[in-house]
Amino acid sequence: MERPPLIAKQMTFGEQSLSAIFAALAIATAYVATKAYTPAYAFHSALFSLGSIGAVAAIFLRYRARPAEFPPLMIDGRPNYNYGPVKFTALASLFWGIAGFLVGLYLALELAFPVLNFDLPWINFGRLRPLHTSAVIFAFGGNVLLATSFYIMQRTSRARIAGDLAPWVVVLGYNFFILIAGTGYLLGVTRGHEYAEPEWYAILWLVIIWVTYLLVYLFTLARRAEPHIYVANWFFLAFIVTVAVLVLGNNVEIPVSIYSPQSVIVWAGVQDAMIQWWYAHNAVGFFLTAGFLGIMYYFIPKRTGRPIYSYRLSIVHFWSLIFLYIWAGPHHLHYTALPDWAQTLGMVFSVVLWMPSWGGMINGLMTLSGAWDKLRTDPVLRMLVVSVAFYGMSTFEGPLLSVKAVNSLSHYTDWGIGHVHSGSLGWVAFVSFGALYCLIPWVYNRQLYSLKLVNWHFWISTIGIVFYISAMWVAGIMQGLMWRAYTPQGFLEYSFVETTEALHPEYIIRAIGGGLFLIGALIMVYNIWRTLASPAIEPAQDLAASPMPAE
Amino acid sequence: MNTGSVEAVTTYEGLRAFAGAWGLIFFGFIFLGVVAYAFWPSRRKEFEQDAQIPLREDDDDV
Repeated sequence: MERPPLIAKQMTFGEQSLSAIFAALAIATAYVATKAYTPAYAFHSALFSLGSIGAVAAIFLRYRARPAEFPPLMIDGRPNYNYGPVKFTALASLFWGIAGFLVGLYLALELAFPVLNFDLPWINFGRLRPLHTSAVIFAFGGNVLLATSFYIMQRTSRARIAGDLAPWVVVLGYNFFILIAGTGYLLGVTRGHEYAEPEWYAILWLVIIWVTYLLVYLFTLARRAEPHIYVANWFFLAFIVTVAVLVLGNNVEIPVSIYSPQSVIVWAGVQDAMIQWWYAHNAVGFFLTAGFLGIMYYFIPKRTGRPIYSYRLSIVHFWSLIFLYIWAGPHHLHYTALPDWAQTLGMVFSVVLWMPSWGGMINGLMTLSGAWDKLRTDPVLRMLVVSVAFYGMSTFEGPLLSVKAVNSLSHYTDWGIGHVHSGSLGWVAFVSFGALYCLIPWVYNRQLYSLKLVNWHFWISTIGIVFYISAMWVAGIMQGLMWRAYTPQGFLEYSFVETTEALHPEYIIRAIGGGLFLIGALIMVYNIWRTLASPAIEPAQDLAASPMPAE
Repeated sequence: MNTGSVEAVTTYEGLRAFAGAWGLIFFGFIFLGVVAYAFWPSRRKEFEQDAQIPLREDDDDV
């Protein structure tokens, strides 16, 4: 009955070796789980073991289902793009986004009404806060970066993504890292370094995933049909390489035991602080800026249907941004034990950094010159453009806050929180939303369900951001002024708890702003869900998915 | 400060001065090199074509 296949189907070397590696990992981690010093670590070891068994099963089932031959790189002279990993990460980013925004809102409410922590250790502010920051930065932002980078590198190289299993190892492995990190925070597993909380075993896993990501990127670029590597790819490469260096640099630590989740960092004190803030500020610079600038340099030209304003400016933007950002970290340690010259260096580089930031902003905004009318008709483009405007605003505010005299007022206050959120909500999240509104209809070959709902999302979230950041400006400056107020006798005028009481109204306004932002994101999820539920459009009308004029 | 290691302090001061002076000159020249590369008149056409890459690729869609 069976027809003989054209070529004999057999497992590739990659499928065989990867199954063997995961099988070994499943056994090893199951053993560690039985010996673990803490319940949390036993839980994580068991998760690793189950995940590895799942990976072996997935590889085997995929092998059973796939045809003997691999998909061709080209079909009829056109690249046969692989959108599977793009689709997975695009939808994962929506899930993590909602989760992260929701935890953020709950934290805002906890600050306004501390009773909301219910005296439970798992949901107190200290444990939920890293869950929020990691969920929005690394889970939401990370999945957006994976989705867009895998899309952009294929399209601008006009080549299918390199590797068969490798892209899936990257996207699934990265999301598994998120799971380990997030559950760890709730169970109290943390290194206590801001934005670098995951412990040594999670980091080891991340390093493997990240190197695979870099290799997939490089091998895809190596098979490109386009002679020039488009500038968006440079930003993505800078993001991938620098994040690898940062994570390795900030995690030079010795595990207490293979059976313990804890580790001890090799250097302590001010050296640790300096490396930590070199890491953390460049996480902002390369994760939240360079990667998302890659999105800007691709999606704004695509959506407007015109090339970037100045390609030459983008080259200067790229090199000056990456050379300057790496030195700005010490501005997080003004008036500390860090040598004074290092603080000044961090401040000077932060101020100089204003120039490439605004160069990039001008480049993005001026791409619309002659096409400004599209802002009126296309809310997706409006979202992308407003994100660039927020980028300009927060990259002006950042250098300002890095100046020592300003920092002496603003540091440790809510002004910093406001600054971070104008960058992360206004710039990172909005450019991500804009890109996802383009990307998801394109890869699923669907018409976006409703531009009207995009418009609602845009306005509700924008108003939410404005509530958030203006409340934090008022709160931060008031807090800073109250902390430094002296009585005529030379005593501090306010106790700490008095400053906390004074912030109560602003904290409520902040929670309202965060709630509005979350409502906007929920509207987006509904819109995307309806988009995916609609029938696929005819292939010939692919480009009609977005309101773009024919070139 | 680590007393007794005058040598360590002078090494530190020396390295700091070297980095502050020569590092600045080094980065200054790199920046000028990047600007010269990007704005060299003969590359204008090439870069204008490169900027079209995201728009050109749509030809690949059916």
